[in-house]
Amino acid sequence: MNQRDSGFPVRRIVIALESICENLTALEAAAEMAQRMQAELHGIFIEDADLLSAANLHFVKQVTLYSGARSSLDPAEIEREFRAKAERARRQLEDLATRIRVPWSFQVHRGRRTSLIEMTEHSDLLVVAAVARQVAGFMALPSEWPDISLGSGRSCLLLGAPGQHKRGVLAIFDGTAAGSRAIAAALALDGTVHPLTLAVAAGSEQAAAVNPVLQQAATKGGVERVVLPEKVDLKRLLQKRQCALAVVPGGLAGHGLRDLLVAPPCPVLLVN
Amino acid sequence: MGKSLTPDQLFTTCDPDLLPGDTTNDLDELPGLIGQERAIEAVSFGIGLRRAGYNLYALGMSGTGKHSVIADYLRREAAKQPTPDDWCYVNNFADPQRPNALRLPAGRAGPLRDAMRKLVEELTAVLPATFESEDYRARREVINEQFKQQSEQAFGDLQERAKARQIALIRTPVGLALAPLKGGEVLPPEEFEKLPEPEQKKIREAIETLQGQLEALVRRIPDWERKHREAVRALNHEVTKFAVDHLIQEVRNQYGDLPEVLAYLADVERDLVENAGDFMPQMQPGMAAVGAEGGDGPGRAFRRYQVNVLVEHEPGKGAPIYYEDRPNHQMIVGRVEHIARFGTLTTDFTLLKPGALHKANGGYLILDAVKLLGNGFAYESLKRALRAGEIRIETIEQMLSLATTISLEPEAIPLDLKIVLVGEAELYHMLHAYDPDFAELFKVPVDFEERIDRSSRNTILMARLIATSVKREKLRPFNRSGMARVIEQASRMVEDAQKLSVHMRSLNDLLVEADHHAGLAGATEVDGGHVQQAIDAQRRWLDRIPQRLREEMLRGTYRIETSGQVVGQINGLSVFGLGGRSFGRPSRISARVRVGRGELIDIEREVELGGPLHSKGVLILSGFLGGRFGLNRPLALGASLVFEQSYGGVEGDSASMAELCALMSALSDLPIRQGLAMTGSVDQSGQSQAIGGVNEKIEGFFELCAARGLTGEQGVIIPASNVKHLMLREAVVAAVRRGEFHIHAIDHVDEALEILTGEIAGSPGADGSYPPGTINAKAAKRLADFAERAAAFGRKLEPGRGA
Repeated sequence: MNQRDSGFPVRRIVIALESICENLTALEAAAEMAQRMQAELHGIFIEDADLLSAANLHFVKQVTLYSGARSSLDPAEIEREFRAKAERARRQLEDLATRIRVPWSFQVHRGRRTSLIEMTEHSDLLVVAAVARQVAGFMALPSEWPDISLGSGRSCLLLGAPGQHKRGVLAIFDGTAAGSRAIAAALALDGTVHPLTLAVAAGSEQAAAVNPVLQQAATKGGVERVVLPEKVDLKRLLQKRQCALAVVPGGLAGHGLRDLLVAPPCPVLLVN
Repeated sequence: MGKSLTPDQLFTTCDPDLLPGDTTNDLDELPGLIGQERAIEAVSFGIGLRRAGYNLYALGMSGTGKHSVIADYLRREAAKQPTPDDWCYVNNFADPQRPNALRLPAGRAGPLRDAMRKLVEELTAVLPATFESEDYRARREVINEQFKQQSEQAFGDLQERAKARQIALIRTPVGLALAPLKGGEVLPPEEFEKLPEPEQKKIREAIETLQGQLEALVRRIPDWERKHREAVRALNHEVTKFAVDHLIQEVRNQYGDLPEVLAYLADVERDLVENAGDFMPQMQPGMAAVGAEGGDGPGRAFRRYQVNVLVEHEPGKGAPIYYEDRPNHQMIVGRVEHIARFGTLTTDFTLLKPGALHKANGGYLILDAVKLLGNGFAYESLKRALRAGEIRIETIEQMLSLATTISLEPEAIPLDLKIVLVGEAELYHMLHAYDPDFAELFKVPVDFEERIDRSSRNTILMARLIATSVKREKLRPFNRSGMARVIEQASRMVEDAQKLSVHMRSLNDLLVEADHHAGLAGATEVDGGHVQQAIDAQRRWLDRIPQRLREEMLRGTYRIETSGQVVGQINGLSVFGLGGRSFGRPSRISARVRVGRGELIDIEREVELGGPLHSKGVLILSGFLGGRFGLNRPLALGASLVFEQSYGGVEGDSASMAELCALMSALSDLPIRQGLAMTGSVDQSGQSQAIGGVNEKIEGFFELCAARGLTGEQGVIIPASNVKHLMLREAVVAAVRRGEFHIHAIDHVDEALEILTGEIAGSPGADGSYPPGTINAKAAKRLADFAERAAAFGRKLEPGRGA
């Protein structure tokens, strides 16, 4: 299926890049998706305005995570770090885009993360990191992006901590338009390497509605259909299925969607 | 006058009719060698006495069959003895640099190695499956979640407390910071400055308080991590133990009777449980700390569960007999091999290789003494092992304390074996004389005979020995004449008509070569002619130098007279040995006499070409002359003796009789028949004494005479005590038979002088004088003249005494 003919057309993918985490995984995931969907790549490096403001307050100190020691925040050093990391992110984006032969662009934006939503209203897909930093084997500092993504009403790809992702795409249909787009996105992303599981998290009416989609998907083969129980915990579901990507409609808030996005066991494409 | 020997005295034939059977096919094989009863007794004693130091040294000439006799005997003995235990090296989990030796009954090391290999294979499949199971993942998730909740709760509480005070917890590149908020954003500095001082102070204090709490929180992270690791470790331990215990029990059941193996398996199990992470295709988070060898691949990690079988024996096969052809240090005590890995050489217990001592332990080790001594440190290593009663695999550097790098120090293995060194007798005597350890460690000499009596019994046994070799070498059968000729040659080999050589290599060579000649002739059996062809061929191959010398004698370059008579000149005979071939060569010896003071000048000695034995022989002549002619007057004799045209050294006293005869000829002024040559030594009373190489000497002179044409006047004079050594070539015997050549045997110099001059030697009368006209009378008269002239000359020289 040509993605431009599908119900989930993506022409531009925006990657949110930051100084606090270099988010190389986000770059690579976005590049893979751009190649599959023949979309343009656009990287935005956010220079965190809050961090700069804090650095200019002389009494604000940072506590280093790896030692617990207190040290000053030097604004000049923060600026240098912004520049260095932005340049590195640009080079990596360029390398990736050149390699996969997709158009690309890059910009640096100083401001808050939320401002990125307004800046990219014409983009089809935003790629962000769900986890700010891994502190220990079992613990990661949360990022603001899950909440920003949920509140934006936009389609976002949220990436968790690097781990052992298995094969396959799990798409969830909830009977809504977003659910249909989720199925369409999954089908668009589903290649020969991605066996597709369609999970229906709805009653019989919605389940019936997915049948035409399934019929369309059946021509590709390798599609499994699973009917989910009434009350499903999305995070536990993904942990159990061990898929490489989950495509989830944005209306599943009652099923622990926020918990899933805060610490996703695999990349999650939130479709709105 | 000496006896002229008859043809049958010159060569003792072997009568084919006295030999059993028609051919060697009819004869029973001999189980061993003949005439080695002394050696066999020593071997039997040495092997039977299982005490330290009673190792054997088999001494004897190379080619006497020492190896095969020893090996045959040991093979029979070893088969009756218990099969020794198997030995393995296994990992020492407490100290991998010191691998443990593991002893198992014969035949059980191999199955242990296979069982351990199977165990690892199964664990490679079972453990990953266990760790990927739903049950394990769920339990692991519970642990993660527990710690995650704990930490997130703590951070969340801090964040909430901060939020309540309008303070944000923000992320920095390396950590966290707390900053005042206004309208959901961090308060810019200029706005902070606009706040009233009390409010600024309040914010600073709040941040200070929260920062203290944040620091405390961050410092708890390592503790959470440690506890998390411990929880995961405990889970992994439990899961692994369940999987491992079940599999290792199968191995344990097979070796329940061997406490050492059970102890090893307990170590293995402990290590497996501790290092289960090594079996994961990819190290699981939280297992890295548990899996010990970071950076090592699973294959390498599994090596430590291997069993390195050093020696393995088949049950019931008896004690091992091992011959080490390259007895150097490593081949004796074993070696530590290395493999190149990332540009460096590494090793472990699986690369320990056995040496000859390991392979022969519990049995017998045969070593060539000369090879052992020729390999640096090998002999020293062997002695160390024997003294210590254990085998310790170590490098030469370790042995000499020269190594500074860390290497393996494998546990020593108890040593219990018999060493049989095989070598020349000279080496045995030297070792005995110069190495005090040798006498301690090699107490049993096994002395091999090189010759045996040529009795009727031994002749029959020799025929059976020939038959044994013929069959073993798969040669054509030897008929009686063939066997007889080989037996005759066995006598010639030892230069003794009453003895037989048991030098197996030479005899075997002769049999093989005779068989070849028979094959060339298309014969189905090997007869005496074929054997003779082989003997002649051997002689021809090494005849270049004797032929060249003979040629120069015939051309007159070397002056050797074989006819006529000359005063004071005689043909002596000497023997040269070159590359396994000995040949006789005539030498012209001349003597000159004059008035003197009793001095006898050996020109060879004067120019340092004469060896001590030769000089001794010449000095004996002075003793003889003094005893015979100097009892009543001083020997006013000056004489000189020389080997004419001799440009090399002269050694031995076998020409002393010839020198005496030349001297007597010069004194008596009686010429010596040049058609005769002479060999033999003489004592001070003129008695002849046996010498070596009598056959070659006779043949050397015969060949020269034959080349010039035999006259019937030619021959050789030998000591009578050498007659028993005669085994002359057929050509010589035939010439004697025809009367064209003569061999004279003498007991005394007077007999020789009579043959050489054709005159009577003469015996002293009651007054000590000799009958007029005899050789001795003429010599005595000459000496009396010399004495008178010397006295007259002395008077002339003495002052105050007129003539």
